[in-house]
Amino acid sequence: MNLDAAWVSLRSVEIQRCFSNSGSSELAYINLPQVMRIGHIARLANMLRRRGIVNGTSLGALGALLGMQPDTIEKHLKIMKALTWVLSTNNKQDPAEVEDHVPRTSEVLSRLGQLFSTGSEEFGISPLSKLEVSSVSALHMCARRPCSSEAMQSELDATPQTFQKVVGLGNAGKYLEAIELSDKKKTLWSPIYYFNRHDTLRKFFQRQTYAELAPIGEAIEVCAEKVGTPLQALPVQQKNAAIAGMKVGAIVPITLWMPSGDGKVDYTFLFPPLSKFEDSDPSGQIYEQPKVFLASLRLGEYYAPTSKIKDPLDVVRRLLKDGKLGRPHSDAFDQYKVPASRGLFKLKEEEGTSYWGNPYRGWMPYLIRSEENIKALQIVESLITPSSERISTTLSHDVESADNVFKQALTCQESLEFRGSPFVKDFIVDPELEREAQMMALTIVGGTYE
Amino acid sequence: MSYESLEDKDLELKNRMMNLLWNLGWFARPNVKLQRYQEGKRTTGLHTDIDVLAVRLLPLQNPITAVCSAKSGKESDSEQIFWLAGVRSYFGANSAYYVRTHASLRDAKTLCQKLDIISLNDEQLQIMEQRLSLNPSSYPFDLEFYGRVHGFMEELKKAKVGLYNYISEKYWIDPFNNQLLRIVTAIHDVSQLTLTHECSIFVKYYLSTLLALPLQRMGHLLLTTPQNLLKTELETALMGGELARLDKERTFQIVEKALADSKKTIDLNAQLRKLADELYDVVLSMIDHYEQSVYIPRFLDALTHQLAKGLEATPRVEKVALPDLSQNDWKYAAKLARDVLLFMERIGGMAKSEIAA
Repeated sequence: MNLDAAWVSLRSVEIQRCFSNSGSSELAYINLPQVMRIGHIARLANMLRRRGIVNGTSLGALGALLGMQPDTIEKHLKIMKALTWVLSTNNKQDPAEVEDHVPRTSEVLSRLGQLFSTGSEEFGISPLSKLEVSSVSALHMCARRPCSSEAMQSELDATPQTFQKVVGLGNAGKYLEAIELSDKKKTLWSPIYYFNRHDTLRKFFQRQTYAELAPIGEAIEVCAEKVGTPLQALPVQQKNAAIAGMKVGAIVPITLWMPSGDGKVDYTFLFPPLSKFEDSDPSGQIYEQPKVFLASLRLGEYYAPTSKIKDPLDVVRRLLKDGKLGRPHSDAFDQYKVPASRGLFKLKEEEGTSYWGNPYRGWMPYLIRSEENIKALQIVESLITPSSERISTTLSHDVESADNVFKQALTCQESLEFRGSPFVKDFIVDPELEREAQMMALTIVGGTYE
Repeated sequence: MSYESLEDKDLELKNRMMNLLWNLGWFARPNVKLQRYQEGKRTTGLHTDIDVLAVRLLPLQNPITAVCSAKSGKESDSEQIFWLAGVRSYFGANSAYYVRTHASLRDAKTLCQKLDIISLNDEQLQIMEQRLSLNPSSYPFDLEFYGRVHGFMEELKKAKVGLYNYISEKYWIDPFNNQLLRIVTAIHDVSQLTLTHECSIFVKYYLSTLLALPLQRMGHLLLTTPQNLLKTELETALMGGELARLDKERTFQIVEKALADSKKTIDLNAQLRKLADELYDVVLSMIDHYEQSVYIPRFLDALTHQLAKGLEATPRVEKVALPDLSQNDWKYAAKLARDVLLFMERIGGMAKSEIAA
């Protein structure tokens, strides 16, 4: 299995986090030392980003938060200095003081992934061992759907002993769990990706056969890739699987309606149990603002009777920027009535002018600019591109912990928004062509000085 | 800006003016030429040139500019004063200095006052230096420095005259988004040129100072933009506004389609986004420490001076002395200056070993 460099780091972060919360971390330091190192460095870098100048005491506190010994933090900082993510300020009173030059999270993750995948003499890094690669890959596979042990073993190309060790370590860190399905097939899954619902889901999975499980896994994956996918838009087999997922709570539905010639038509939108949603907590609201707003966007994107939304992200950004949309629209009332009833918008009927200069009447949503509403829109903004995974929550929690150390709150947007989707590939691989393309783009936007 | 003629008899005076402005917190350059451009192309014709151009960055303000006509002769000429008023207007400058060391300037005084130009002769210049308690030992501009920069610039001119012309002429009249994009192109280009190591590193640092000016303006422009809109707004500002962005994105689509027809799949938007991502990082850092961001061009200039004076193979941050900075401001200015250098490194225009230690 060939894992993208950024995913290697992300999965390592999650493994490191799982072990740091368990009593068996020593096992990980012995068997998965490089994975733990990636986790530590990535999380420390994420905590240091945008902190300006960080003194030795604060650095020590951050290290302690991540469970590092003083000598470990020194070693990690050495690598970070070599990567120019931090530079020493040469302060004689505080020799440990550093300047933060940490790049974006996605950059940190892919750089670390590359370094540790191939190893680097320059930075004193040896490559991940077979056991480590297998552990990271196993978690990656199970994050998306439960996988049979045989399929995993063959995909990982691991010996039975290595595979056993992978499973054993996964169990110890509680990021992998073996379950037996109703057809007696041994399967592995990762409970950490089913926020607050793992007990119910485990029981549900155990009642399925492996053949039945595959489409459910796919449906969950589709919902995580495109949060708020309409049920009606799924192919028949996946639709049934999604309904099964909904019954057990692996997928949370929201139903909205649009008027039609003979009454109204219901449309159901599907949401994975992400920790960003309130209802990931059993006592939380189902019709919470971000979810209702995203459902209404998907309603406009898929089922608006006239002029469907082409770019939902553009709509969210416009609302955040201007507090309203470009022009009033006749469909806007039906599309935004539920979010309006949840206190997100005020809907006003207004007169507009069409492209041809004719006046018409339509509805305009006005964002009610409360802190809660803006946060709801920001959550939707972060979800609207595929692959916002639960794993990113670890990184955003880290930013919050670091905020406490520095007594300065940051909204670390990008830590909420990792987009490492394997579906988003760069077009260009040839470095020469890439340089040419960069220069071409620069030329078009006005970068020619001759 | 140019460091062309070493025989210029007014060199000392220009250096003196630059030192004066530098010590008061200005970013100064000598001999800025106003070349004639026809249909966007440079001609050999020259409108005029200005002896010293200085820019001062202040928090919550657009940059303020000063122009200076410095001659060591005796004459004070009304035409020259009117000319200076015109040049000031052309640059949108806030102040103008008319310096004639040996002139009495009595006749010119009324005209200068009327045109809001500060006239100075040698005596007045000395009084000003004394009253502002300037320390001549911290003066960075002298003949030796000028001579070395002249050498490096001549080398660059031979290697890439277009780049030399841009940084010495057109840069100073370009809108800030174009300055940013064009200096980024220049940074890319310099890494491909055959220059001596000394010259190459000097030019890179020199470009960093020119990059810092529009970067700080970008930070200033985006200071009040909400966090989640920063990247979009930055991209829009980079492309010259919303309408220009739309046009440029359409051009991208057309070019991409043409390339796809010839079997080359290129996502130009993604390529620009990569650059915008790196820019976003450095602009974000400037916004986070906005107050100190105004010191970056001078900080980088001080590092460039170390190289020009041949003091260090790689400049050293701790040797930068900016008299008007508090300890805390200095610390953050140093951090931000290195952010700019790291931006250059991350886009492939500078080696890690060249970044100021």
